[in-house]
Amino acid sequence: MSKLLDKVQFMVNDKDFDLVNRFRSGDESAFNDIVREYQKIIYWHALRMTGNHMDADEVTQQVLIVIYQKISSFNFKSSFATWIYTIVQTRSLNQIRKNKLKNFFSFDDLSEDKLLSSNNIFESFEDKEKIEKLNKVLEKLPIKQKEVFIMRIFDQLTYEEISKITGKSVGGLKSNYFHALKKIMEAGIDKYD
Amino acid sequence: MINDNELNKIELEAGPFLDRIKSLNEVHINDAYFNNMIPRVHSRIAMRSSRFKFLTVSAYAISFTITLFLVLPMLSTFNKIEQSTMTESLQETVMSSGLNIVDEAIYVNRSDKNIEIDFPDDWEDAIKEYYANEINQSPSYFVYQDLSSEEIEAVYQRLEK
Repeated sequence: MSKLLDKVQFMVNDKDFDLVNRFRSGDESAFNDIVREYQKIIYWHALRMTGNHMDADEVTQQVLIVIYQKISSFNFKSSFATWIYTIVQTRSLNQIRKNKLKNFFSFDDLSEDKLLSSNNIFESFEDKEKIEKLNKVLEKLPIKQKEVFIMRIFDQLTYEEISKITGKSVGGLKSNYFHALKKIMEAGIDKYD
Repeated sequence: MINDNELNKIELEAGPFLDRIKSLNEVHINDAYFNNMIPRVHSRIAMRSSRFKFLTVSAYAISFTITLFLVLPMLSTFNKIEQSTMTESLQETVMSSGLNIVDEAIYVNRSDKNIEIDFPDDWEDAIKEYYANEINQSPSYFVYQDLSSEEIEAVYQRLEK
């Protein structure tokens, strides 16, 4: 994952510029290159935000479709990665809201189906368990704290980058991150073993 | 507002927790999942585009039908107006021929007979219609009702000339 994160560039880089311009000039294969380049970043962020593979998969597909449809309106005012992160973040939050509504109106426990859906995705049973544990940690945090925590810890973004993505003030983000750390420490380290 | 010192302090304290959490994130996902992403996304884009086309065509069809239903009665009204205008334009001709003949005939003689004008086949529909309207709608309807059989006969004869 850390290798993957190294790829994420939050400055406008030549490769992104070239990919976007190729796609805009009608080269459909450029979109496939964009998918190959960004699909893992999108999926992982969506997985941490939503907490299950089924929703993360849905968000990933939605984000890639949005990129396909809206790439012509991308103006390089921010980096391509920031733009993609903004879309993933918005779509993930929408998916979480949708799930809350579904759970409210449903009599069945939908989380069981979602756990089963990830059975064939992870390479080993240990990996699956790790993700379940991680989700248990993250689901303790309120959304605002969760998003800044994920972007700081896993995506290694600066507060300024997170501010660009979420549209929130740096001060507010620091405050949310502080409370997230506090909450995780209060829960105790033994919970994560 | 949280100051940077407080934040750095808690980050240091949380270090072991964060390392443990980060290690939970070191998992591998089957390559097949990511390899299938491109065809899946493309098929979804195609599906969306065909759905969009279907919705656009439906929207056009619905708006066309609605417009048609709105326009048809309007066209019919315009047609009626046009017809009445045409009738009015024929009025002068009619007045100078048929109506004058009828009017003249009316004053010849009167009785309690109703008038029924049987128009010759070669007469223009508009003229027939005009006469029919005149008989039913004008105040002189009652005058026509009083025509005697001779008067009607005279009217017919004049009309047929």
